[in-house]
Amino acid sequence: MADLNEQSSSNSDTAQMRQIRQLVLGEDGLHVRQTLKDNARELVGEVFTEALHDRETQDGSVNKVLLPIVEKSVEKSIATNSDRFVSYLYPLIGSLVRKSVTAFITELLEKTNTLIENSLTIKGLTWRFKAWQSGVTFSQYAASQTFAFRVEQVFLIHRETGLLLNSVSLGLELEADADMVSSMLTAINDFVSDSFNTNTGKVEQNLDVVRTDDFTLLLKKGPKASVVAAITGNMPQGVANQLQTTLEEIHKLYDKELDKFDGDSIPFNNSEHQLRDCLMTVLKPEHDSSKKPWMAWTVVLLILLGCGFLLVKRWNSHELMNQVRLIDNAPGILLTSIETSGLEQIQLEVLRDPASVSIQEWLELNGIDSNLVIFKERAYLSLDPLLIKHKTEKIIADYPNVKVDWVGDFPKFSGNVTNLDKLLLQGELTKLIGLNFQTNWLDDLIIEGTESTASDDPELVRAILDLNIAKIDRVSIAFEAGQSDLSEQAIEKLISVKQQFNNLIEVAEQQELSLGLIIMGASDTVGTVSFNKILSQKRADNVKLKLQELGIADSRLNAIGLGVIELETAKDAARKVMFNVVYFEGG
Amino acid sequence: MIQKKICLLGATGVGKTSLVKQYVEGIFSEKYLTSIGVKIDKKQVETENQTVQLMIWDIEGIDRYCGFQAKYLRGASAFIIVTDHTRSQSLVEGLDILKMVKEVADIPGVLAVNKVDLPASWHWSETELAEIKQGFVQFFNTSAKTGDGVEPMFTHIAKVLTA
Repeated sequence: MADLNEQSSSNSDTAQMRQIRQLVLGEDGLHVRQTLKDNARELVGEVFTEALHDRETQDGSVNKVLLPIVEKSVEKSIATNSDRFVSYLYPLIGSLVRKSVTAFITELLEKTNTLIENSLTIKGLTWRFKAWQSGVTFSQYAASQTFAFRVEQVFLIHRETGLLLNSVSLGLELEADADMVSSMLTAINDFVSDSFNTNTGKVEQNLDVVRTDDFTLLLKKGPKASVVAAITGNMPQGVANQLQTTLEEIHKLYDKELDKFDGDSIPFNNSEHQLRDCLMTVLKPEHDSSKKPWMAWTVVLLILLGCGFLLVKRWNSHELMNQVRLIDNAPGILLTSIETSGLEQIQLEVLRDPASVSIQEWLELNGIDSNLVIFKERAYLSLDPLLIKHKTEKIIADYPNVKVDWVGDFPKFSGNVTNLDKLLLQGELTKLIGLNFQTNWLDDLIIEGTESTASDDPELVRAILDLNIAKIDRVSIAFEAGQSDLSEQAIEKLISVKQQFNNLIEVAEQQELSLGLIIMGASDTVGTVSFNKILSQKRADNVKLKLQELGIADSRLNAIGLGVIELETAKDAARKVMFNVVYFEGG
Repeated sequence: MIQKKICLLGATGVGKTSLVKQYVEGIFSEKYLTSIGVKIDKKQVETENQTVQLMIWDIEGIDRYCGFQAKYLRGASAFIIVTDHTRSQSLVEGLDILKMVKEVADIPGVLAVNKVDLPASWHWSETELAEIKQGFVQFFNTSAKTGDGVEPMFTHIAKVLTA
């Protein structure tokens, strides 16, 4: 009972309090509201700035709300009062234009510079090649290499209809047809949600991340709208957080608009500011360039040094070779082969006339280290005019009173000599192959002593005899192949031989010498041995017969068939008849 | 610019995709229809006072053995049911679809009688057809081959949606 009383009294207290409150505050706090309303301007004015500041520092939402309003007012103001704005801005325009042109040029220069750097450096070329290889444009590849990650595009999508409310992008060519993409994404999400729905819970399944080789699509779903970001590179968690924050902000700011959405996306135009916060970009850290590959550099350096050494050696040996090659110009030396041997040596093969300068000597004369030259020489007889001159001069060195002057390749001898010396000199010069001695070359020599003493001197007579014998010995009669008939030339030669021989008979008899002429026939290697033997005999016989006809006694002539002259060097010259004058004491 | 989502529905083989192919702007291949059951195209339609962008959800052919992906209808402002007047069955299935749509959404629907370039060979009487048309806000005779009726149909939908 007491309890009941207590309860009813407390109830009446509450009712009373309510009554008092109503009296003081008015119905639904009407008095308070009225009082506040009366002083609203004053009250808000007192804290307005501070409140704005506090809220801005707290979440930055003031700026985002004010920005579109201010932008719109300015836009409207300019549209309605453009003249006034022109007059305000007129003085500023000039400097603005100048500034912008300067900025443009600076930017252009920097861009060109970067372009050149990217195009001409090894890195740039590598990127270009790799971009070509993977089938993307250079700028795309460069972006993928430069940025650790980059949010390329952000969509704001109405949850219910899948219609695009707004989108922002970095303005690259990747920008897809945003409205169709957002609808399709919604469809895909519905598909996934339905296809993989677990029966256990009523929670709707949603796509969160879609990854491809190049792209990551990050989807954040709110109750009324979704935010989707297309990202290249490795996406860090920070992007997802930013998307979440943006989505929450949009829900807060556009709550009513989202509810009332009827396909008109204009109210969401200002959401661009929130969406732009999601376009995040982070550059890749540069590779540590201070780390240099020393080992590799050392190897490269060693290889370069080795190559340099080899090049120098090769160059030296090339130079040496050019120097040694000049040996070919030396009279009586014929270069047959020259080549490098090993790193720096030269291998040389030459033909050398024994009368010419020796290889060793030549090398020393030309200041060439003979250790560097390996040579092999073979002897040969040189007809080099220079060497012939040299040989001639060597001969006359034995005759101190004789001097030689050269008219072109022909010598002219002068000076004083005895008759004997003249004959001896004539004999030696006649034997010198390649000189083609002519007797008139000696016409300028002045003979010392008298003719009579000369003819009495048996040694002198013998020398003259020898000289004339040598003349006959040098004569040969040539024949056609397989023939033994004498030509006209041959007969002329035989006439001359007959005269010389008959002259000699006289001189020989004075000296009590008996003179004979051996006629030797020969043939070349064509045909059988027996045929050639007969042919050579026939040739000798014919010559003998002719000489007999011309008037040389048969007793002084002896014809011999030599058969074949088996000398490779002889060839056609083997078809001939040769002479040999012989004499015996007591004729 | 106003955007509206509309859905294109109908039995398999009535020519939904062909009907809009020449008419719309699309970036997705028809493969999507068989893989996820929907393909999205868009079409801008000029009405008297404004431009309307229709996002057309072309939904895979529906038949009695194949479920109806109701979720694709979510947020749609209108729908089109396409039938083929050379096949009676296509209208039966169209009516089934209409019933299913009405269960999940209260939005205007349009009936498209397709393939009118061919002679009609379905067994529906004019009275029956007139009754069926009551369930729709409008009906159109269309041909994917000649393009007849397609443009007027979308323009009508745009008008209805912006009225």
